[in-house]
Amino acid sequence: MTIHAMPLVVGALCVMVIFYRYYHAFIAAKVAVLDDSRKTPAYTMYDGQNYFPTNKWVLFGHHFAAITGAGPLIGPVLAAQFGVLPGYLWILIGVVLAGAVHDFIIFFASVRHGGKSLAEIAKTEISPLSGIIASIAVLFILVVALAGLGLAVVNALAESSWGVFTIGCTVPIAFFMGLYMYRFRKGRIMEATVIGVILLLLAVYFGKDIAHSPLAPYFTLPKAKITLFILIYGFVASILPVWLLLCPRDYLSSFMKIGTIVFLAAGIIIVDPELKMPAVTEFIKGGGPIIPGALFPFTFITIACGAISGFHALVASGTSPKMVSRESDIKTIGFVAMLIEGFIAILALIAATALFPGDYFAINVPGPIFETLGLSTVNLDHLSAQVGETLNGRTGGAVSLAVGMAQIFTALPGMSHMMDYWYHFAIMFEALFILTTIDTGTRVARFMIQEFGGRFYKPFERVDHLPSAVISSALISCAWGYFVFTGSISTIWPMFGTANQLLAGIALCVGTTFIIKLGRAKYAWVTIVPMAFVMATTLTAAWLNITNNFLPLTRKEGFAVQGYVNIVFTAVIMICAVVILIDSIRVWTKALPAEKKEGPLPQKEAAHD
Amino acid sequence: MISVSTVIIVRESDSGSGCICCSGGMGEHAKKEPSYSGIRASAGECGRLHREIRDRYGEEEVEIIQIEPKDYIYVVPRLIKDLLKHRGPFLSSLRTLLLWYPVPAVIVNGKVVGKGKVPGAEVLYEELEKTIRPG
Repeated sequence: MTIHAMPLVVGALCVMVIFYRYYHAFIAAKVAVLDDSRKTPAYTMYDGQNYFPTNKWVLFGHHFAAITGAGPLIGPVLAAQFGVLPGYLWILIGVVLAGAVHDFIIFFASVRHGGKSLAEIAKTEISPLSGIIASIAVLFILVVALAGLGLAVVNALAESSWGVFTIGCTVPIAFFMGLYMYRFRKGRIMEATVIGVILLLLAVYFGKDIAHSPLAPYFTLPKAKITLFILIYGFVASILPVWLLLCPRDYLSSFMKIGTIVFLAAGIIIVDPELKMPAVTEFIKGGGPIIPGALFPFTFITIACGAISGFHALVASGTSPKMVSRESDIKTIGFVAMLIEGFIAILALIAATALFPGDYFAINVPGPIFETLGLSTVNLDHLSAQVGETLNGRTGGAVSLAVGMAQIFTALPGMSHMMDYWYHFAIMFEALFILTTIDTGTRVARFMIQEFGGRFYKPFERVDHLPSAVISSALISCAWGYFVFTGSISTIWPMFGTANQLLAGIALCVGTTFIIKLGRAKYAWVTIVPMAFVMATTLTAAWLNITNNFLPLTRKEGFAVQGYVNIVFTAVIMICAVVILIDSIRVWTKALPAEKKEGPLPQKEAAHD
Repeated sequence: MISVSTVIIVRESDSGSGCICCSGGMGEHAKKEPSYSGIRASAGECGRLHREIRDRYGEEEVEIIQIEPKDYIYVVPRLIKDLLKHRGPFLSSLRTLLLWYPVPAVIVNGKVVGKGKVPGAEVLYEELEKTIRPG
């Protein structure tokens, strides 16, 4: 039986609309009891700069742009090893029952806490200990996330002169844009962005000539060298002034993101590709070559961001709650933005599963392992010839996603001869995002390290203190760089998924505590059920990762340190989540009898005003 | 609530740049970043303008939208509505629509009244009075 994309796309949209209309409306009305007569922080803390009321749709756009990144694109591609159905169902069920609820409830909690961050809410709602642990967890999670995404770029660029040239060009282009809009023609952001986009497209276009020129060997680099360059990039970028690299790069990726996602959605609807991957593969029971483990629990950590993402809690308790003008707006912004992110994850899954299974595995698995699978390629040689690069063994998900996207784009009228350009455009699009993540993530982690170090040596916390900035940046870059150097996508991505999902679990713990303290314990199941599921699957996956993957690694000659480091990182994140869970349960058991006796806790209600 | 006039303030954010995994910006951490000082000062000026307009006019009279350039696309439908309502010269409207101006930019009812720097509130009052209290 053949599966086409359209029924899946339409089915997903229908499920999302139905859940939004009924389940999410129920949560907004009965659990949160959104009240437009209450003043939001945009009014109570109004300053016109950080806190100000904003039009619902404008804020929706801002929030959606902030939560959409590279995460939902890569995870579904890797989870395609289990077939179309597991990933599809998890994204769909996960996003409506867990992800959207998670984003909404944290957004709502932050609004009721005056726009405070997740760690601050944890500190207020649970305990100062949970607040500190949430901050530690975020630091560890950042390192693993940077490694996971960094590895995807490294594998996509290895031995690809075209890719390296194009991505390499983004750095001088960003420098040029930065100087243009902050020095030469101050404030001319649109001008600089238009020039930047044109230069970027030219870099993709001329990359082909570079690949066929005597310069090609200079841009054809092995993984180790690319890792080193990305590590140096992360280190330098996190110290440079933001206007020189981060801001211009951000303008480039923001506009590219919207355009490419809209184009991909339109492409899938017009082309309606046939999905070559079966509904489920033999790897659902384990033994998969990409993600080592069975469907349960590994699907649920491989696809993180598209179904539920702990990182969204940082946005939902960041700028958006400071700008929402009415509580009822949280319903549209919190739920719908996440539902669209889930929809994007489904598009990525469709793009990957439109490849023949043999081709998909040949791209995502190292050559020697692929030979043991008993699969044969169908179109891979043709695809390799079309994109002008060897596609075998290009693990990490980014390459298969780029091939899948390019296949869809070239099926559009008049595009059939442009496979190589679309493929490299897709690679550039993914890498652009990920490098922005590396810059921002390294910088944020640096601030956290400096803040921590400042407790022991005061000048260390001063962010303008160059030696401190250099030391902390080097520390963070080396931490995530170590994972990229030593790991593979099979070891790093599950760690990244575990970290992201445990952060979501922590956020749901905070959300549950908030609901109980609001006096609505009877509805706390809306967050307890997803929290229990996310915690159970993720802790199981983390445990299996340690026992089945990392412990055996410690016994392998030359891999012992790597095995132990992976174990320590995973264990720290697990411990953080478990401590917050236990601390939350302690608070719930105290709050529940009080609520039964006295009804909703008036003092807490007042605290939420 | 339908406001008579719209003020759109386009300015850069000192916390929304970049993304981490699938979430944007540095958030509260950005406050520690010294190289945001220029952007932060400009945002502070926009905040001052926001407060002055809000103090003088009610929400039913003026809707103020403050937005980052990278999210500008989400304000375009509103801008088109304003441009069609208060018809101005075609080329100037087109430039406004494309934000072909330096930021910070302040757009009142589809007309750019401040570009490259935050104007004084009086400039805005003058423009706003034309629609709020015509004649």
